Amino acid sequence: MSTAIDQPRQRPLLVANDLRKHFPLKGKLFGKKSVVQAVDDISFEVHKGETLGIVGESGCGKSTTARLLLHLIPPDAGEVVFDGKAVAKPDGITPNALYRQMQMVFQDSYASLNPRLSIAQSIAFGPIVQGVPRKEALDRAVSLLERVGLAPSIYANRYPHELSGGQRQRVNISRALAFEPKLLVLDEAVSALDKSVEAQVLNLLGEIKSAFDLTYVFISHDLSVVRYISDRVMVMYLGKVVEIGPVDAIYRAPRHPYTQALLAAMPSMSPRRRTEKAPLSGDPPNPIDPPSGCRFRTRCPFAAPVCAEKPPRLVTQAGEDPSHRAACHLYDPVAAHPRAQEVRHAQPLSA
Amino acid sequence: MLSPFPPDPAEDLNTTTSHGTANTAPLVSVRDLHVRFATRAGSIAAVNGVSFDVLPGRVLSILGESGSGKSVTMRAIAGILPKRTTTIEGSIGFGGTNLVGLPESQMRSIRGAQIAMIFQEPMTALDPVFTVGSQIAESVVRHEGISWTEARRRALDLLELVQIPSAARRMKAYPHEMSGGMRQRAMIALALACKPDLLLADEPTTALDVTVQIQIVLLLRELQRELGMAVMFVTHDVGVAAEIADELAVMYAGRFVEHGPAVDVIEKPLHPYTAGLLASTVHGAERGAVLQPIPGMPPDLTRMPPGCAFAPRCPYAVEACRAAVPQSVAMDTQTVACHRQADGSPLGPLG
Repeated sequence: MSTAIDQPRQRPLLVANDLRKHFPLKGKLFGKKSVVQAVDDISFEVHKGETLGIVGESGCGKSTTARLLLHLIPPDAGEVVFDGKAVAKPDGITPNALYRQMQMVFQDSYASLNPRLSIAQSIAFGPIVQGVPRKEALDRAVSLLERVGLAPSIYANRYPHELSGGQRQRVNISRALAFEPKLLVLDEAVSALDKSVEAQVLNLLGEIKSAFDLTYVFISHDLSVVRYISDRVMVMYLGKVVEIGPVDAIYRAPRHPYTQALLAAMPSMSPRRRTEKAPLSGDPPNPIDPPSGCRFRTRCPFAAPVCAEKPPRLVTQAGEDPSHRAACHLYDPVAAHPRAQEVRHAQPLSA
Repeated sequence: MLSPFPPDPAEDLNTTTSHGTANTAPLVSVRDLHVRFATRAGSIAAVNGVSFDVLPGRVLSILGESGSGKSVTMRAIAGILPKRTTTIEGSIGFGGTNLVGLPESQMRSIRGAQIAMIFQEPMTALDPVFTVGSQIAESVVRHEGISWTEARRRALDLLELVQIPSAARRMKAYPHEMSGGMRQRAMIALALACKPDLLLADEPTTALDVTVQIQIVLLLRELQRELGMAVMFVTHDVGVAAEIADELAVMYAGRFVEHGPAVDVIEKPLHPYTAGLLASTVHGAERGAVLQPIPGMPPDLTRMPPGCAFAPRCPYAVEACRAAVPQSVAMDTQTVACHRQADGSPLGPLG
């Protein structure tokens, strides 16, 4: 399943290099202007055929990352490389050409569709704009509707408001597929759906992934769904990557104290095994002027002076899977964290 | 933690009530509740014959998907459905008074004092132009007629009770100055201001991040136990229900399809809908395995099918299911409204 691990030397389909996006806020009359450090120098790769899950809480920058990947907003620094070509660079790939290979599905299925276009017109709209003959685009729209489980005879001429949330999301998926893209970015694509419908759409995503030979970047706040669908998982906190690795490593042996807290905060699903103590107190801090050094240190049970001094690097652990990396001074010998010996041999932490 | 309320000798009796004790009079006794809304699209049958009791000091969680009528049931008890367009039939007994048809002036003195409500979005309960402290104090002055000085002291105790850090300073804060989790705590403090016997909670943790959600769930559990109040907790999230509920009711198309101790409903669901809902919840599903979603969609509430509302989606449905609405029957500790469980050929626990 995970081509990433089996073939490490294959060229990644998508690379993010030191991506940064800071949003300036309206300046105060006096004093310095504040910025929201939505995404701050993050790097990762997406390999062909895999699903990379991105998890994190509100304000961690996961949706900004999605928009940067698609060049819907230009990065302040860094670059996106798609299939070996840098996006919007002189000898790279233009954003327009990128959109044909990479598409996005959003959370709000209704806002994503033009209310004045019928379902078939919505799906055909993009290809027509990109120069596909009208007849051909509409025919393809009909076959795509069939493919996502919506009978074209019933749905092709309906309008978005006549459909349920789950059906609209199927339309959004078929619209994304209309370009025959290589990669789909799914930004909370199933989060607004009821559980029984969510399961239907997750099954559909699994089917079309193999049928169309797709690669997914799957963004969600739902840890169970990310575990279910992902090959690798990236955990974000306040605009930084705190941990990235194979899904089983992240869920079974999380290293970063934030990842551990996030997983411990999941409801137990059984009244017999209730959560006794909340793993973290308070809310995630504001991404405006985040803490110095490690951004998690204000809520971290392991915080030491070194954590305030310098930001942690993403490091691997000796003798462990090198694709599993965590940005925590506990695991970085150079940082000389006073409690580092407690986490040797990747034992699960307990504060 | 110290309670800001004077000790109440009756309370100990309430908190020690065990499930199903016959000699405890129910606090809430709903019988054959029907709620219909008049809309331009026709009459919407939101609640279609719901009967249940809530014992003092117990937590009943109502689990359901959007449109199942769980919020409407609770809003009918709180008496906050729009009068002009709503028809309510049946009875809602609360401490011996029938709330259906009660004049608004009487309802107003019950609501806030004996029945309080918290919401998903705290700004629906908090007034943006008054400080948090003065809003809580106002509620105490209004219902208990004590002095403002005393009411402010009570408000401070309440903010401490809901574990808001530096509560004295937060008294003077406006709602917009607080983070999401803090606002949720302030709303809970406001709801508890007059020590209600019944707290109605409408998805109070749904909009929160996972690390904050568990804090609020644990807080509510602790407060419920400490104050001995009864809680009705509406949610779409099985995990949250499992964390807080003594009893669990599952709603579908305006009816209770199953009701019983939370452990039993989750571990051995008797209604095919409950089983389907649990099976389509991704939690614990094998990664990449095909999920078993419930096919189809919930019925159109303007055109309810004559028999069991779940029959069109049910793998066990037979002719009788489409003919008549199933009655709730007792099976072990649960009650279930399913013809197949009631007709002498029990399906046994499902899922």
